[in-house]
This record gives sequence, C-alpha cells and structure tokens, in this order.
Amino acid sequence: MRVFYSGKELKAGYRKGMSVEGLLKSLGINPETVLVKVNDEIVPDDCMLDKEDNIEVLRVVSGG
Amino acid sequence: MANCKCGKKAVFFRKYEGRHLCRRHFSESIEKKAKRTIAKAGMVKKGDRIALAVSGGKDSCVMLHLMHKVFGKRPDIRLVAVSVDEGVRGYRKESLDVARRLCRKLGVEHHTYSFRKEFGKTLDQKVRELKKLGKGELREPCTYCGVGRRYILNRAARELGATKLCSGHNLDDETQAILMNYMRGDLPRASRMGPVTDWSMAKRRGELFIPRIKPMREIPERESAIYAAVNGLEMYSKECPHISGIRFQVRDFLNDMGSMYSGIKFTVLETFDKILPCIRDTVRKEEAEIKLCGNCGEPGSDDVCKTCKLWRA
Repeated sequence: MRVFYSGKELKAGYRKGMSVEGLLKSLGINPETVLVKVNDEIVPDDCMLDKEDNIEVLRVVSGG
Repeated sequence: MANCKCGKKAVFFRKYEGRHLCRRHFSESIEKKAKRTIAKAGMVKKGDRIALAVSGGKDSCVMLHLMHKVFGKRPDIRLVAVSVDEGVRGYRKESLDVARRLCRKLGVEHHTYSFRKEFGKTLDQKVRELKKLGKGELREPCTYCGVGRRYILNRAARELGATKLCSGHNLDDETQAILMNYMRGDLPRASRMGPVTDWSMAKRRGELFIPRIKPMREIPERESAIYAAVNGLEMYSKECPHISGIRFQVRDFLNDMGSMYSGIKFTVLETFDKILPCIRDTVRKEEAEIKLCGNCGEPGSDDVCKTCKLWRA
C-alpha cells in the first residue's frame, strides 16, 4: 500500500480490514479536511483497503 | 465497498444522513440543497442581475457552476462574474486563470478588479510595509485583505448594475464566522450574517450596499470539494501564503468536533439562524447612523470608512 498526502509519500502500515477512515486516523489526519482517492477513484470513508492499493489523500480545507 | 441506493459504486458516505451516494446521486443532492437554500431565503427574484464573486478556488468555482446550472438558462436572471486580484505572488494570478477559464467555458461575462489599481499597492506590498512598521502596527493580513475585497466587490457589483452579490461561502465558513463573532462580541457583524445580508435597517444602505447571498451556506466544505472533483471542475487549491489568525484555530476546532459528532456544524448554523432576528433587533436599537466616507464617498459607520483607514491612510 502506498499513501500520498498532498503529493508527498507517507509511511503507513497496512492492517487487514483497514478502512479509509482507519487509515486517516492512524496518520492523524482529520477526515473532515480531506478527500481520498483509491487507485484514482474517490471513495467513501468506510471503503476497505487492500495492501496493493495506491492511496491519494487531498487536503480540501480552504486557506484564504 | 458499499453501494448507493441505485446499486452504483458509492463515492461518499454521508454520516449525518446515514447513506451512501454514487457520483450522480451525490451531485444531485448538492444541487437540490443549493436550490432549497436559495428558495427558502428568497435569495433570487425575477429580474435579478447577480454578481458572482469568483476567485478560482474550489468553493467559488462550485458556486459559479451551481448558479449557472440553476439560472444559466433563465431569461429573466442575468449572471456576471467578478474577481479581485489582491496581488499575492505565486497564488492569485494562478487562481484567477482558473476563474477566467471556467467563466469562458460557461459563457459568463467576467470582470477583474485589483488592489493595485484601487489602492495603489498590492497585498504583498502592504504586508511588507506593515512588517517594517513593527509589531504594534501589524494587524492580520486577512483583515486588510477582507476589508479591501468586500469594498471592491460591493462597488463593482453596484457599478455593474447587480441587484445581488453572490459568494461561495460554505457551511464551514459560516460556522467559523458565527463562533468568531461570538468570541469577539461583534454583534453588528453577526447581525449582517444569514442567507441574505440584511441591509434593510436604513433605506440608504440598500442602495449603497448590494445585498449578499450565500447559496452554499448549507453545504459542508468537504462536500463542496467532492462535488468539484466528481464533476471534473478545474479548481485552484493552493493556500494563500498570508493566512493567519483566529479563523484557522476555530476551523480546526470545528473540524475536530465535526469528526466526533457528525452534523454538529448544521446545528451551529440552525441555532444561529433561529436567534438571528433577536440579534438584529438588538443591533437595530444600538446601531450608529450610516455615514458616507469623506474620503471615497462609500458607505460606512464613521466619517472615514474602514477601507480608507486601512488602505489609504
């Protein structure tokens, strides 16, 4: 599993049965502030992850 | 992965409604919500010319897209887009390019105004100038930017003959502003919130201040971003280099609460809307008379308006 947050790759451990929400929590990212693409598709927070997935986390909160 | 009620793959799980939504049903739900917000507050009337404040960021692009979808084919409603170039290097030019492209694609007339032309200097120059003056003189850059931007947008809307000024403020922006006004004890500013800015307190105000409308005030920021993404809207998402101040602490607090208690931002907004008439009554009794600025002639609460104090002093 590879995880990119705003273009930078993050170190993230995969656990069987891990959801998008679980992954975000383990990385200390508030789900309210991001949208997540798994293998280029936008997915809901309860989507289950696979160890081969490519995950892109995009920050969505505005800053001016 | 869970599916939408139609059987298609979900792109979003809306916790506060307990339902999964596919691309189409998610987009339809956002469009329905915006239409309901517009109708509920009577934001748009027959014959309106609406100035749309577009920066090129996701919320203003979504607002432009939604307003065009709802009113673009109505012969009795006219839309015109207005942008403000504050002069922030490596940030604003790029976002205005996005705004221009979207307006061109949708066939919406677009006008750009700038701080440099209006105030003789950019926001970057102003911030440098203030830093030189030392800490005592330095207010948050967002104060100078917000005051200047509101001033230009109001005047531009009036000059373009607009009867409404529409912004892309979302649920998060609204709830942040509500809490900030409470914390600062700023009732006059709180009284001007709500779906349509109330300028009815003095007749003269209605002529000088263009009523502001916020069709996205019930759409969470995250859903605005997902709407932009699933509809393939080009949007500029870089953060302004000058961001600072209490708003960002309030934003983080509300997002922490929102992730623990889904729907809490709606509760903040709904409660505020219920007490807004009382706030307006209180402010009406205490409010100072509207004066015309002796320097620029624009409306304000003092002999010299806040914009002139901050930008032309």
